[in-house]
Amino acid sequence: MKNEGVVFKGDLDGVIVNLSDQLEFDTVKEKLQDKLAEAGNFFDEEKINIKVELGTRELNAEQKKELINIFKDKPGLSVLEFINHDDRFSDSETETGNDTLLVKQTLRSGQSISHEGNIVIQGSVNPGAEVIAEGDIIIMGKFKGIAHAGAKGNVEATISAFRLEPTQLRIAHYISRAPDNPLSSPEHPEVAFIKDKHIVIDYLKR
Amino acid sequence: MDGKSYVITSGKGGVGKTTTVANIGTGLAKLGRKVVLIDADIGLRNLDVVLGLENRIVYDIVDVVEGNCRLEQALIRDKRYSSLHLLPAAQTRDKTAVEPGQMRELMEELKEDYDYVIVDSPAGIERGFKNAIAGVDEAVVVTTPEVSAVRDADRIIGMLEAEGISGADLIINRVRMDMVKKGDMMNIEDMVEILAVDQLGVIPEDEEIVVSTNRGKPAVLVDKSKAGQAFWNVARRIEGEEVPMLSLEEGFFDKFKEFFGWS
Repeated sequence: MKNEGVVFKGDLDGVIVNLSDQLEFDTVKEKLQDKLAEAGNFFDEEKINIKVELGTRELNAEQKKELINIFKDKPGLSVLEFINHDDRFSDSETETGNDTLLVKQTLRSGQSISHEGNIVIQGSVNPGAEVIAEGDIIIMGKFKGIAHAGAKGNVEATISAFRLEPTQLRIAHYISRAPDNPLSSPEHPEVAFIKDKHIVIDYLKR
Repeated sequence: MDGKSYVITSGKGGVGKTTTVANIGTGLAKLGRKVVLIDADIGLRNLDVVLGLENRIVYDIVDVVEGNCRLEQALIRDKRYSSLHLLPAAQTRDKTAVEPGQMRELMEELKEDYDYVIVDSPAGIERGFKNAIAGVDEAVVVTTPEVSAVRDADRIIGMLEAEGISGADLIINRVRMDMVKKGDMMNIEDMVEILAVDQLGVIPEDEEIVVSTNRGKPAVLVDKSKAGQAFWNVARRIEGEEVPMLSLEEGFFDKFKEFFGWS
C-alpha cells in the first residue's frame, strides 16, 4: 500500500502526514479527507501537532489554506508546518537559509525557481523558464528565459550569464525585453544591471 | 460593442490550432476588426511565440484570474496591428489554475470591447478544453486529412454539441492537393460528410508556415504563402464574405497554368 498517497506516521512531537508528490493536488486532498473520515474520532481527544510532508510538491497559499482547513475539521489537530524535500536543489547555506541557492540543472520551459537570496544556476535557462531572486542571479550557461533579480525592489541587483540572450530581464521594478530582431550575443559572459533608470548590459569583467 | 467569441479546437494535437488562431486573428485585424486572442493552453503556451510576442509578456491569464493585475495590463498589443491583442497563457502553471466559470466571466468582459474573441484551445478533452470552450458562442474545429485527426474531430464536435455549442465549422489543414487527386489522401468531401459540419476553409500544406511560425510572423501576411492566402479567405468568410473554397480555386488555377503551358 505504498502508493496510497497519504501516510500517517507518529513521532515524538506529534504526527507526520506524508502527502505523495506523485498525485494531483485534488486527488491527494480527497485521499486526506477520506483518511481523516476513516479515523473517526481517533484524533478528537487531545492536542496533536501535525507536520505535513510534501516531498517535491510546492503549494500556493490557497492550497495551503485548503489543507489547513481539512485538518481544522478535527478539533484536536493543528498544523505546525509544511515540509518540502526537494532534492533537486540544495541550499549552500541551510543555516541562514536566504543566502544563495545553487541549482545544478538546466531549467526548461515552464520551470520556475524563486529564492529570497541570490541564485546560481549551473546549467542553462531555456526560453519559457523563469528565475526570480531577491538578490543577484548568476547563470553559468546560456540564459534565454526570464529573470527577475532584486524582486523585492533591490536596484543594485544584477543578472549575469555566460551567454546572456534573455527573453526578458527584470531588475527591481524595471523591465526590458529582447529586441524583436535578435542580435547575436557576443561569445562572452555579460552582466545586466541598472544604470540611470534603465537596464543595461555590459561585458562581465572584474 | 457586442463581439462574437470563437474557440479553435481539434482534440488531436499538432493539427495546427495555434497557427490557425494566429492567422485568422491577424487576418481579421487586417480587415480592420478589433480582435483579442486568448491562449488557453496554460503550461504549454505557444501562441505568443507564433505571433512573435513572447518577449513582451509580463502578466498572463492566470494573473488576471487571480487578481494580480488588471485585464488591460495582461493584454499584449500586436507588433503590426494595434487592433489585435493577445491574452497569453501562463507557462509555469497548469490547466487547473483557471476554472471554466472564470473563463466565462473573462469572455463576457472581453466581448464588450472587441469584435472577435478567439480562444486557442489546448489538445485533449480534459480541463484545458473545458476552460477553452467556456462562454464561447461558436466553435471552429481544425483537422488534417488523416483518419486519426478526423476521428478526434468527430469526438470533439460531439462534446461541443453536448455543451450546447452546435454548428461547429470545419477547417481542413495541411491538405496536399496532388495526393488527394491521386487518392492517397482523404478526400475533402468525405471528411465533411463524416463530420457533418459546415466547411470554413481548406488550407494547403505549405512550407512557408514553418518559416513564418519560426519568425513570429503569421503566414496570412506573407503574399507568396498559399496557406496564408487560404487563411485570409477564412478570415473573410468569418466576416461574412462569400469566398470560394481553395480546392476549387486551385483546380481552376491548375487548368489556367496548363493552358499557358506552365507547370
